Amino acid sequence: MEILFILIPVSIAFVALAVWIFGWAIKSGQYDDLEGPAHSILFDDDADMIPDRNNKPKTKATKNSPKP
Amino acid sequence: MPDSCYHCEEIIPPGFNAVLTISNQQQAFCCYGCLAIAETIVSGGLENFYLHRTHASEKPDPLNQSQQDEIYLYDDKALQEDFVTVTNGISETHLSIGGITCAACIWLIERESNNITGIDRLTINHTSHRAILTWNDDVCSLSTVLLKIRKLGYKASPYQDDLAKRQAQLEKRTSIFRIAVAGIATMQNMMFSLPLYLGNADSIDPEFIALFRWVSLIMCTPVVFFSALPFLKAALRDIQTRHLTMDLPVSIAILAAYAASSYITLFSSSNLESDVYFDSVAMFTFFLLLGRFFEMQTRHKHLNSDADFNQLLPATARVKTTEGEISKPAHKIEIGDVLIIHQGQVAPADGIIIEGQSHFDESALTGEFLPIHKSIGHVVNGGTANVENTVLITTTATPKYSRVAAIIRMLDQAQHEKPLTVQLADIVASYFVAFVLLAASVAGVFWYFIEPEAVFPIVLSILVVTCPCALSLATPTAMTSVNTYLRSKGLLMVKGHTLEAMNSITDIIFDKTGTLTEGKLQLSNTTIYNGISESKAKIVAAALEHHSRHPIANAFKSYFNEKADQVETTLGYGLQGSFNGKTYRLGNIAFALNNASPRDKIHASSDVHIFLSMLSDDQQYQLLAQFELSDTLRAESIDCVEVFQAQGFQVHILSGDHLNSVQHIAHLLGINHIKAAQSPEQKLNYVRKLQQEGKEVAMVGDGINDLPVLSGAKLSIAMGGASDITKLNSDAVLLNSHMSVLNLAFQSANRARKIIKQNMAWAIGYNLLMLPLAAMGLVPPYFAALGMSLSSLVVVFNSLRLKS
Repeated sequence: MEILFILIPVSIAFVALAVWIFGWAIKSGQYDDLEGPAHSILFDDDADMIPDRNNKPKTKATKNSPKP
Repeated sequence: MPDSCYHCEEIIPPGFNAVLTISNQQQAFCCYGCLAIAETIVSGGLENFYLHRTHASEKPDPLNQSQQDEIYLYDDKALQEDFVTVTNGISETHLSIGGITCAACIWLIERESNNITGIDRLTINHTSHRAILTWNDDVCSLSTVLLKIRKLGYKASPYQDDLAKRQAQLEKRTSIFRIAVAGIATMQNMMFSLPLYLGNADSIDPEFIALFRWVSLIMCTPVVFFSALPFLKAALRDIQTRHLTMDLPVSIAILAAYAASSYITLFSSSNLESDVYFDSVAMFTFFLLLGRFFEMQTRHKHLNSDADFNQLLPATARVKTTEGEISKPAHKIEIGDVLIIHQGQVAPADGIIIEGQSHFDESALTGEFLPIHKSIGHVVNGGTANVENTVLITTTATPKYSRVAAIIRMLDQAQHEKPLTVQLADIVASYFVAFVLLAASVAGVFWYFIEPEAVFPIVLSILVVTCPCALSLATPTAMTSVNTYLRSKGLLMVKGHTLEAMNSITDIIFDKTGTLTEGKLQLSNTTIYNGISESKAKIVAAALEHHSRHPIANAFKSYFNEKADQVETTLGYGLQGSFNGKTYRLGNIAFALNNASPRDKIHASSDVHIFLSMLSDDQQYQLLAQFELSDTLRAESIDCVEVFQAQGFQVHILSGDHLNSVQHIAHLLGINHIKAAQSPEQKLNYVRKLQQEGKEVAMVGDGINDLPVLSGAKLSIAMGGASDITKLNSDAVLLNSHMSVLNLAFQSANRARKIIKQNMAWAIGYNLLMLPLAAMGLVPPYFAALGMSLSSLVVVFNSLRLKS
């Protein structure tokens, strides 16, 4: 159990690191808009990326399936 | 055919026909403006916008030439110095975007703008409706982006951060960090406290107990001295001002628990029986901060809404110098500068006319929809629009000190007044705090004689469990969430007592012009001659009127489709121009038919007739159409009045207009209580009389002439088109023209009252129930902290229900 005397200080260092990263994220403005991401994930604007639909994929070149 | 517009959901004028196929379905529109936006959206492949949006879009305001020129002005490098920063060839600016009604709007603007080549990135904040734009100025200009956004039906303009906004942002970031520190520390502390709570002292080695305590101390210190700092500061202020708030017992609990636990950790490590309370301190602070954060969020939303008023003054000015006409940022205008105000431009500052004469649209200031004639020596107020001719003015006040700005400042001030009910809750809370401090000392003394070691945890539990933060959150959270909700629907609560007042109203009085009616001229009837189709006649008229800023022109705005060329204005008579190769005239009958004989000027009054004619091959003016313009009833007035009457409100009309027109409107709305041709004094007397009969009166109005009544009534609501001074003296302002929002407001007020009562009952009930339990020593401190926080969260979430 003596290992705790090393592990706990290590965990404190990790916590300090986590807090520092969090502080950096806040400062860089990542938490300024708390509502937007919740909405934007719901907008289906990836219709052209779903293969099995009638609309042709815009980003990919049309496939040329080789004849058997 | 549906009767409301697919884009803005307003009613399609009868006979108007504009359709577009969207997602294989034919959709109808109310004006060419809406149609053009829909076409832009569909051509960009973004028709999903209509599926995603939750609110109707705003009806667009077609861009005229001078507004377009103003947008191009933003490309001026000298001007950009004020609001654009350039790093490594990438320019960055902040934009304020108007017209956003829901999250889908933001998706649309972001998608469409990010498709423009040269745009690096455009992101819009959902709360503040502010955007950060970065672009490469060599590839694409700022005006391209602004025009693109404009084409989608939104208004974007660069803005400079003001101090209040920056402070709000800093406050928010700091409090998120405070919460993060407290939250992480709470979790860590819990990990080290649990073995101490669960196992008894014998089963854990003493050196581990000491280790856990030390680690808890390290984790808890930043919580007390960083996260809990706002509470400690507020408590200190309370002591200085001798005013009790919940910050005092909160601070006592935090500091006492921290000090006692630190003492045990530092000096009596051999004493394994005593408990440490680091976990309770951290958890208590964490939940308190969380509650405050929710409250702050709603408060800041309110702050953002004020910004709309700041857009009355233009950002640029045209200044006449010895080298000619130059453009200058509005904030660099000095007193004595000679400003050139072209037709269609808004005066950026107050001044006196030194050359030329024109009509000015003062509706932003006075609510009067017909323009006012101004000539040399007359004062022009900043924020008013020049309707006709170019004039020169010498500046008498810089934009910062102009009349509009003064009114805006007064409005800001009025909004910062602390509402009455919130103050009441504070008073209740301060008595409650005194009671809690007393109860805790009595319990402490009592336990001192029975079991001295138990005194500290019990007093701590009492202080923490009875923390009246749920009580003091009960009213403000409910009020702010209703205010935010109504604000999103377009009703701005200016004063605090508004919601309370709504619950006691028995009679609602409406003004007529500008309140029940649109307050502007609209096309009410068209008669056609000589085989032209009605829609063609309207398109031609709209093409000609596109070049005019007269209020008559606004009536044709929605029919605008194509531009006319060589348009000339004959002041006060009409317009002439060529459209598809033919020459047309639009004006009074004499002008249209080119009679040299006495020409009556068109007087803009409540009923106007104008005529359209075409120059035929034999050089004769041939009459094509007669347009009748009048002030029409708002689309939602009928429903609004009907709902109020069904709910048992007595509805009245109080107007300065002639009896005939008032009776006509009253008949349409089914209102029996009418008073016509009333002076402002008579209006006020009418309200007083009702009040003497024991009625509680709400007044809805828009004009300066409604001002005495508005301040005399218990509750006053100003229309968005009202003058600023009227808005300032009202309790609430309806920012859009949707009368149904008024019904919604009264319903919400009722719901808010219920929620506040529930909150109060819960907060007081919980505290009274837990106090004896804590005094008996049945509630350990960590449980007390958890319970009080959950109680506050119950209140906050209960209030948040009002938003839907």
